[in-house]
Amino acid sequence: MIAVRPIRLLLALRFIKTRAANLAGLFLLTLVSSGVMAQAELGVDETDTRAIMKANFLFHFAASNEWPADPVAADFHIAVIGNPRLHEELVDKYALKMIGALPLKIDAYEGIDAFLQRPVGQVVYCEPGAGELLRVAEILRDKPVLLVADSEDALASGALINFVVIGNRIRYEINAQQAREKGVLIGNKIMSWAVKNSP
Amino acid sequence: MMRTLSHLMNTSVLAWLAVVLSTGLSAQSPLEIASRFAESGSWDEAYAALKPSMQQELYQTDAHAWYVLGFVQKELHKASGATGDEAVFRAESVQSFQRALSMPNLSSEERETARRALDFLSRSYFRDAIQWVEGFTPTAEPIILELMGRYEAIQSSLNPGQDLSPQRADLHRYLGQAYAQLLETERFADLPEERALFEGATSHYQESLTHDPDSYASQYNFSIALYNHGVRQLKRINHTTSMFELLEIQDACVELFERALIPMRKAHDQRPTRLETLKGLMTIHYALSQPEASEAYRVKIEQQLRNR
Repeated sequence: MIAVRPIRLLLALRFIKTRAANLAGLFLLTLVSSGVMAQAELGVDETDTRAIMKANFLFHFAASNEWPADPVAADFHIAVIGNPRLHEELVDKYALKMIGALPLKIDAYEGIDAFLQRPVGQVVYCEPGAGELLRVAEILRDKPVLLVADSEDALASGALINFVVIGNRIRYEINAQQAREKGVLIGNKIMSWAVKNSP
Repeated sequence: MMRTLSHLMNTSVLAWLAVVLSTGLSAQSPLEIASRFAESGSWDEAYAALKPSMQQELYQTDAHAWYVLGFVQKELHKASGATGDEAVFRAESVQSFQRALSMPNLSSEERETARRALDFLSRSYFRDAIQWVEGFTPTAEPIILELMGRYEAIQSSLNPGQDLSPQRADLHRYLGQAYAQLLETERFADLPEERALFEGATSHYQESLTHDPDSYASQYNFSIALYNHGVRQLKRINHTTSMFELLEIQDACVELFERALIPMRKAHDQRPTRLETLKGLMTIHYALSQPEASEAYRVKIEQQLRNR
């Protein structure tokens, strides 16, 4: 006859002991399942994605065009009005890169008034539109400066290039005629990727 | 593995010892000897006494013997601290308990205890799977899924109607997060592995959502994986990027952002006041050059912050 009772009792007793461990395990499992022990969750990347795109476009606008010779110029300037994150992106990735024989410098202006006090730059990006853009265009009217904007009807307000959105993508339109009149020769590559060219 | 081999060698010596002892114990059966060893907590000796005899016809249909062996193996597993494939005694214990439960002559008391023991063992498989996720490398994925499969198989045998979708959904979400975190390190930037990691992250989030379509966390994390992968591509744009490449990158990123919008909206619909989804929607709409929609969510964030 097999003595089953002692082992049954023993195992039953042991089970009571292990039950506490099991309950602890169950608690752990519940924590895991409820996500408490999950790895740290990732958040949305707050990088200004539009600034990245615009910065590279501006760099190409500067690098691919033909600029009137300026024997006294020591640097090539891109002025950014009213968009600090775009300015940061340009400084971070493009500052001191060569545009022709000139190192690229990036200047930031908080608003139109600050720029109008010292209107410097071969390429000027103006974030504000409408009347403020008109003021900038007016002061740059007779200068070989590429005025770039990102606002409705900006070409009619004097910008030579305007960023537009097509199919959730940033593209640009060009007022080629006005550019020629100002002595800015926009490169073929830039012209070919534009979504709309005025004659 | 060495530990297991060493243990098996020890058990051979113990088996010999058990036989020697048994001759002096008035010809007790291996089950009785094993029971005595077990009573004193001598699990190695109990195992050595009983395991070799289980091939005998006498024990093949003895539910109690399989039950005792299962219990001894379970205790040996706990003492070993082994995990994953190295937990040989755990696998053996599961087999022994399942065999005992498959026989009609197991007492109701032992049947209940065996079920609880199996439940404990199955949960240890799940815990192992989670631990592998926490120290994740892609080569661990088959091991993790194997451990999860064992957990599910035991649970299903204990409760055939049990819905294990929540645990399966959690595991795939954790795997998605593990892949996503490897992507965030940028160690594999522009390497073929990066594509594989991205596919790993998104496919696990999608798999998680098939098991639990209403999971807020899976929807949110899936969206973040898609969006952040697009941003990673954009961040690599620099002065060497040609205009053609720029437009190609933009196309690929916009596609990712558009895909990211769908799960982020679903997450937001579930918890409309959560700041993280409001911020997610604001950011994705901004990246898609939809300033009005982005601004609307920015206003909602301000409202939420004012209401706090």
